[in-house]
Amino acid sequence: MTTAVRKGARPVDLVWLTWRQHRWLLVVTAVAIGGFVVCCQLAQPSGQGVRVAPDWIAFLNTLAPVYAGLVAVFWGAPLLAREYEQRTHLLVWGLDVSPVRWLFSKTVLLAAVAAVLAVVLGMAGTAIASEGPFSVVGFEYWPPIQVVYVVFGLALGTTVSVMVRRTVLSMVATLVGFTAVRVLIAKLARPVYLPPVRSIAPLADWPRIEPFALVVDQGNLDAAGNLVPQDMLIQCALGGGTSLSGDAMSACQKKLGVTQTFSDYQPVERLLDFHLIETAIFLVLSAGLLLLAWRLVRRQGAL
Amino acid sequence: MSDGIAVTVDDLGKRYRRWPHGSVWALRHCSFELPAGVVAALVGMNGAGKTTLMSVVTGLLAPTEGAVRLGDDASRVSFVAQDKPLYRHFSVTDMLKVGASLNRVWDQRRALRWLERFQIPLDRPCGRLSGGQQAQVAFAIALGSCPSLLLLDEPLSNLDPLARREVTKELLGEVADTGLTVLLSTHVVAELGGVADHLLLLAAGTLLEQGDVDDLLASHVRYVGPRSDTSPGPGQILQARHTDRQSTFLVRLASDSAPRVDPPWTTQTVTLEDLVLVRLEMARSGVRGVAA
Repeated sequence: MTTAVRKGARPVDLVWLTWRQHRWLLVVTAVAIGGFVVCCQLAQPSGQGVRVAPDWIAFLNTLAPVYAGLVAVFWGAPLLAREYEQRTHLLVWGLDVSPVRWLFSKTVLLAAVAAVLAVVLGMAGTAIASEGPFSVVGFEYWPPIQVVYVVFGLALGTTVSVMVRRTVLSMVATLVGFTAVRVLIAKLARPVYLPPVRSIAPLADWPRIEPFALVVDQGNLDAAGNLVPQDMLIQCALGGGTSLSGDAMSACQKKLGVTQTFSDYQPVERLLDFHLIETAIFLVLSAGLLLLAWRLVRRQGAL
Repeated sequence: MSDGIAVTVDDLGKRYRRWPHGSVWALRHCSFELPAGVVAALVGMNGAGKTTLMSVVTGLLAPTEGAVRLGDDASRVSFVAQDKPLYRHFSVTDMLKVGASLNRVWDQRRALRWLERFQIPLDRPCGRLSGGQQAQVAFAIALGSCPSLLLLDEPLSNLDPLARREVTKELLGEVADTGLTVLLSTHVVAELGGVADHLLLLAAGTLLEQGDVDDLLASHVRYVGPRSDTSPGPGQILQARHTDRQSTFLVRLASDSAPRVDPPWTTQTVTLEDLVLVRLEMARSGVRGVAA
């Protein structure tokens, strides 16, 4: 009798299937990350602080936000959509493996590989990020945050592909969704994770800001500390005309009671807190998406 | 093996939500039993609910109401979907490995035997096989899973006529050898001759007719004779056809009555194809139930 009887698909079987299905994607991505690491090594500051090729660094730094997006679009979005499109989900789910187990084994395995690559990317990138810890690249190369970005990207792609079921449409929707979430969080939410610190200075001086801080807001205050909008000041100084003179500005500052200026900023000591807050946000989003995908797959069935 | 019940379907219903237009029942009040070891044909026009019924029996789709119970001998179900889906970049050997690694039970020799019979190259990517060859790989995986109930959705649809006959013959061989129960769907009624020994006739989501093919054929008869408005013999008229000189009545006999007509009337046996077409025609013109 050649019939093999066993308990069912072992983890190693699902590893094999995932590798066999996605090996080219994994290899190409790994090679690309490897190339990135080599370039980062070449572009690193030499002993004298001279960079070999500043243009490279600018280019390499644009890759920081791109990696997780590529994983979302090319790994996550087709994951289920392609199976639905080619009807192969009917084949695998008809075997002795439940759709939920199959889907989550694949997602977890791919997420693990993507996460390792994200750590490599983050570590190599941190070495060349020169624009300060709160700059986009400085902030986002932090390896754990690169990991949660790819996890979020995969979770988003997977969930979209459960809902959309068309590969190209799923990729487009994932790209739009991923970009929107990342930009909104980076531009709108990140500056206000914690209430900023306010530094105030008299008109003759500049507000003092700690080095490498993230400046959130700047403006004019009256003696009582109330905000005087910059628009109002400029309107006054223009006085209906089109040219702006220093004298007019001074006169208007007096007229509107502006006695001091301020800067709101996030001091650099908060960097770790900010990293942890953003990590937590993306982890919660990923968990919510995967829960949604799980419920949809269980409810929808195969057709 | 063949004295049990392979599967019992009890008042099965499946409703699809069609956002934003409410919902539609693809299957309703569907009840039947399949004896183990039969080849059952699920016949219906496109859109009758065949694929839905098979997906629910396979377990790929949860029913909205009702239940599917597999017999004690029929715990393993294999399903070959209509498109015979395979991973296009996988070689045939890799596809068999998918079957072997994701199944609790796997018979590699049985799968290979099927592929050898149809001379399928094992090292070629599935995407480069012909449609017929892809179907054979899908069948091989289904058989390698050692099913006791095998569901085939339009199994012969992309096979050439010669392959159709061979596949049918080999499948019947598997049934005879292993006591396998087969439920195959088709909308080509002519394919069924000599293959199916059980019929499930589905139209618009409800079962019109079901039962042993021999019993069904024995309980239907056609009377042919001179032009007449009334049937010459016993039985409920399912179809009456008239030309200028001749009338034909296809009737369903009560279980204990035999056809008897006086000359010049004659009786003709009914083929499965006749019966299916008549019942589908009746369904289309709005006659639903036929009192047994």
